[in-house]
Amino acid sequence: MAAAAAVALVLLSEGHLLVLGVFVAVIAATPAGAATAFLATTAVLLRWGSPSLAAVGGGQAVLGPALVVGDTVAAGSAVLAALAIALLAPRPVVLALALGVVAGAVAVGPEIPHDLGIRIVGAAAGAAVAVGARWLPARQPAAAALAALALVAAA
Amino acid sequence: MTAVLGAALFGPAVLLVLARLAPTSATARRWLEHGALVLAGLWLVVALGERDATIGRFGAGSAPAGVGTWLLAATATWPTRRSTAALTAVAAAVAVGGVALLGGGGDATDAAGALALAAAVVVLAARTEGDGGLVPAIVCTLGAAAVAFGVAREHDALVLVGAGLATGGSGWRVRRAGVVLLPAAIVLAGVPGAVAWLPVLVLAVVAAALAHRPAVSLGLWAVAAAGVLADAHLLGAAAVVMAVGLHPVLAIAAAPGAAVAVGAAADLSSRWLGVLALLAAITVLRLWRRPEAVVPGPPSYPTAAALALGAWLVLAPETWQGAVALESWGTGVVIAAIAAALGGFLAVSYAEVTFEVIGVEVADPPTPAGDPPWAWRAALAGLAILALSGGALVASISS
Repeated sequence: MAAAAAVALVLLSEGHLLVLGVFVAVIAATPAGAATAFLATTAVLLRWGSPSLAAVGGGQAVLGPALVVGDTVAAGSAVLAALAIALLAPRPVVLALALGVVAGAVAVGPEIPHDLGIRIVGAAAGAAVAVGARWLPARQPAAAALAALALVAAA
Repeated sequence: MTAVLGAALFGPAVLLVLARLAPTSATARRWLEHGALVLAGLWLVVALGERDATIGRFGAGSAPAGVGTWLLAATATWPTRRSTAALTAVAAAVAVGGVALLGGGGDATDAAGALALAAAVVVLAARTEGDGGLVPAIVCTLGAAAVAFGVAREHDALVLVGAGLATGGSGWRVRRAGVVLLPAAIVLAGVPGAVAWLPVLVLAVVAAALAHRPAVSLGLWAVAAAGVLADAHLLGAAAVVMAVGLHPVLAIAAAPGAAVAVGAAADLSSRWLGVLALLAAITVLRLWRRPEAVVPGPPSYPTAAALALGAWLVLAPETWQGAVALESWGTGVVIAAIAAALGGFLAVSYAEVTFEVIGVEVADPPTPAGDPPWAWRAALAGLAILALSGGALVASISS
């Protein structure tokens, strides 16, 4: 249910970033996952200067995907936040796919229907990273470190 | 609405009569619990009604603090003794009276004075409880003294630190008399006007360190956020919900308050914001835990009320006064609810999914079997400091 909610929020580009963060935390279902979700969504908020997913999606629709907008540090912040979310993927493939779609929206997530092709590529790449990351050891501490770096880069 | 406000303000006098007339001390405790819940309900009616209602200098502006204080008073059901029950009611009534003055025609001087009086009553209550409550009560006393002195001398950082001490001391005493000071202390933290980063950072560090005591941690975060944002009542409400219910899942009620804090702090563009965010993440990490002692069966009335308030806070925080920055929160919740319902239906239809109703009633946390031998003397010293600060407060009004 949390996976469906998180995917719906990013596909519609509606809602508050920390609502999305709560669902990411519920999908990850670990303390480190909760902390990572908080850090990553806060980093996205600082990066775009707005807590609204509509602003994040709309900004990417107008300016371009987050990973190519702004200077290297700002773009790196988006990539790090997306990687952190993807690394939280649990073993069930459905949940990993959901987190992959969320991660894709963070780095390459123009509001639908703008740049639909880019959005689909972003979601697919995020899903691939998340599904592949399920077998990595110590991925949750690594995700937390990446999210912290994303926050520092966005601040 | 004035009549309801009057009943909420002066109803505690009836509780004291009931505590005296009840046939047994256990009955007195039960009557006081129910009476406190009725008073919380009256304050909720006031909060939902006309927020500009007044009686004399008392006003409805801080009505949510009244709801929280009486909910917390309803949870203090130990020891089964008339005197402790009466002292709990007196401390709650005085604290609520102070914030009602702040929310009406009074000012921070009135609320700080009321907090000081309530802290003195809490010291007496902690002595009758005899289970390690004197040290937190001393912390509350020193915090109330710092608030009083800070308000008298218009020293914002001192008010913030004092509110933090009072919040920490009261949050430590969940399910005991001292916890009733929590809302008043958090409300007073919102009084300072200028951003003072050092006390905010210190409060945040302590909040992260004490995350194993969620009510203390969330309360300190509310105070720290108040030092930066001037209005952190959603985080304060989450601290009260946590202090009433104690179940770790209730910590989710802090999410909207955190959202407001993060959103508003982003506009400050200070280098300390990253540090605060990392400390907040550490707090989240440590708040995520299993409940220690779940009691089987239905929740108690105060816990049920905390669950309802927590649900309201999480699902529709934008309907709380002053939380207009959260419109997108409500939209997100509606979309997420529809998607979750569809996802749940599919999961139940195509997979073997079982749902389990978790127990939400948590037993009282363990307390030591007595106070340290030096605690009473230290409490008397704390009361003397409180008296001096109170004198400075009165002198500041006179001058």
